[in-house]
Amino acid sequence: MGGLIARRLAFMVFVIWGVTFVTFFLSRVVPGDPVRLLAGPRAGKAELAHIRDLYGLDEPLPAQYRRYMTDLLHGDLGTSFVTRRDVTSDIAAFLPATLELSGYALLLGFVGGLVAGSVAAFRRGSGVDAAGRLSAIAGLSVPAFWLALLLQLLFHTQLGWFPLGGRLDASVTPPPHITGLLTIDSLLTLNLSAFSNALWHLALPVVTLAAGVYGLMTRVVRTSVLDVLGEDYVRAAEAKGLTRWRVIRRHVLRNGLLPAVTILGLEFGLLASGVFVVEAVFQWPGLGSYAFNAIQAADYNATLGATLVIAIIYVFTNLIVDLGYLYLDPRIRYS
Amino acid sequence: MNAEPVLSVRELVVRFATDAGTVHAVNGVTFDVGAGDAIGLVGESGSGKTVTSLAVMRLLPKAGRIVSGEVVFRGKELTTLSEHEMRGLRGKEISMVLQDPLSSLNPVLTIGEQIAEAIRAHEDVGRRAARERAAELLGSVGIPGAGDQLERFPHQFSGGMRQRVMIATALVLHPKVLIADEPTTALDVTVQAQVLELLHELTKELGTAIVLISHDLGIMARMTRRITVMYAGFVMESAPTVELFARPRHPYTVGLLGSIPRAGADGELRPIEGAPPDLERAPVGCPFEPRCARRIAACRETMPPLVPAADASHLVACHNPVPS
Ligand SMILES: Nc1ncnc2c1ncn2[C@@H]1O[C@H](COP(=O)(O)OP(=O)(O)OP(=O)(O)O)[C@@H](O)[C@H]1O
Ligand code: SF4
Ligand SMILES: [Mg+2]
Repeated sequence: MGGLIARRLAFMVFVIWGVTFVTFFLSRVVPGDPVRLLAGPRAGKAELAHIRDLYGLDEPLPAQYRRYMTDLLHGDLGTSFVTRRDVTSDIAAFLPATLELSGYALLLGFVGGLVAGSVAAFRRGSGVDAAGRLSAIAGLSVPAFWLALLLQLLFHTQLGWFPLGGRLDASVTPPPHITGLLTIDSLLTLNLSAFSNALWHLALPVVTLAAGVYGLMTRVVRTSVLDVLGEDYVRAAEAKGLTRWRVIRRHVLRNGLLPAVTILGLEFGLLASGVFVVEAVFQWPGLGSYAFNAIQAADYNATLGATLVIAIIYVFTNLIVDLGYLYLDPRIRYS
Repeated sequence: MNAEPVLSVRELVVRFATDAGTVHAVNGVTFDVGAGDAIGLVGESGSGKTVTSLAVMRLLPKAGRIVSGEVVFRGKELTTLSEHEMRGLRGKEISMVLQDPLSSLNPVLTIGEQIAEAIRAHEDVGRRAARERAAELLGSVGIPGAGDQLERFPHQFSGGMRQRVMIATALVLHPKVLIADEPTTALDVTVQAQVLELLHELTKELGTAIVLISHDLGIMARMTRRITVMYAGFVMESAPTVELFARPRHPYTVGLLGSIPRAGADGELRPIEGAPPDLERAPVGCPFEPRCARRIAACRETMPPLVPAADASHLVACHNPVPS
């Protein structure tokens, strides 16, 4: 088992390196010259050359790459052309908003799909089952931007129940920065008005982002709970005289939810791609928006830094998921 | 049979509602089990043995329903019992061992947890006490190092060990009746013999009545005192084991017995020519008629009733039984 983890870690390092490698070269071959964007339309030749030299953009690509990797190993992600700050501190500023948004979305989608999938399976063939399956297909197939606009139109423009975007109203004083997650920080400082305002802003983007996770979860859980319900060991448990609820909890759910854990990795993927769109539509000041702007401005270092952080999070969460599965399924643990 | 039966099944009818229509799985099955007695249910695949036993336990799949008939356990009618009361009987008064010992153990729970939960379902004992009894139990069915074995998972046990665990679990609360649905089919021959021996010893010791379901007539001959032969959800013949082997009266039973080598070795059911009837049609006449060499005109018209043949303990349902 120790060997397994070591192999996984080595593979993770490889994946992260691969992502930076591809992003590095890809971002430089797509059209768009950051120097021109930076210097402005009236800049002269000398000025352009100066900027190029300043950022080391006049060197050949392999040399640039070597320098980038050396800095990276020292924890330096370079400077953003646009914000002119360290990419590291930019990311530290933007990441919490994304973590807060996607954390709640994951929680909502996971728990919602778990409940909907199990209930649909237990009530197979009923109206509840049909509703569960339909909502799952909707959650999986409705594009995030479309759902986002729909929710804004309905709940902001028409009903006025929720704000259009942002993390907090301008009139609300943000809680002091402790974790960077507004809901947590406001609770820690007992600032209930900031807490409710943050939640209120989270509602629509979280629902939008959770839809895909919910859809996938519901389908997987429904199928696997149905499978488990037909298993001999469930009947054997009933034959022992366990109460229905105990059979469901100990035997049906415990086994039926294993596949749900395996797909957690996939769900992080769904989240990571959805978060760009959702942050853009809801003007959410997170890593997705940051990366989106960076790509548009051909801001190499910022693009690379954001991609790198997303890749690291993705790879680590997958490792944790796998270890969790190892813990939950003894057949794998002992083989 | 001497004493009052502990379990009595009367005219049991079970049907399944499927997309394709109604499946007439069990069509009026009747048998008795005396206290401490051992009876067998035999019949080809699909004859309704498992469905009958699940109906007794009230554990039929969702689509299945007991349409009519009675299941009387120690004077109590089970078909109309509340689910709550029925649950109290399962595993405590009437137990069941399923065919495949691998699939009847939950792969993600330890052996100890799965034995203990059977005890704790009926008795108000703590985790520790339940564990201790589970360890004792494993020892009593010949699994060495019982204490450590409790922490292990089903896939770390051999097939024979798993079935020992299942049998031990089913008997832990000393039930009055044990239904064993082909308990050794999935095991290899030498292990089969050991598991059957264990089953025999334990039920004898505890005075548990056993309903043994099997394809294997050799096993039946050794383990049971009386055999009920089923076909297409009907009882065809029912007689004391010795009598049935010596003087089978039903043409179907004769067909089944034709497979037993004279040497007395174990014998599987020989496939009788032809196939069992389609259970999706409501049965008319004798279901064995298309395959029967002794059929007469009446066979297509009415299902023959199950009546005493030579003596009162030998019942047969046939218009033209084999002469004894
Ligand atoms: N869930 C179900 N839905 C529909 N039909 C079913 C269902 N379960 C069993 N049946 C039908 O009931 C009939 C009797 O099945 P049963 O399992 O009792 O046979 P069996 O005698 O135990 O056979 P085997 O020796 O193969 O175990 C079969 O025709 C089967 O198709
Ligand atoms: S009733 Fe008729 S068809 Fe059926 S077994 Fe007897 S003789 Fe054969
Ligand atoms: Mg069966």
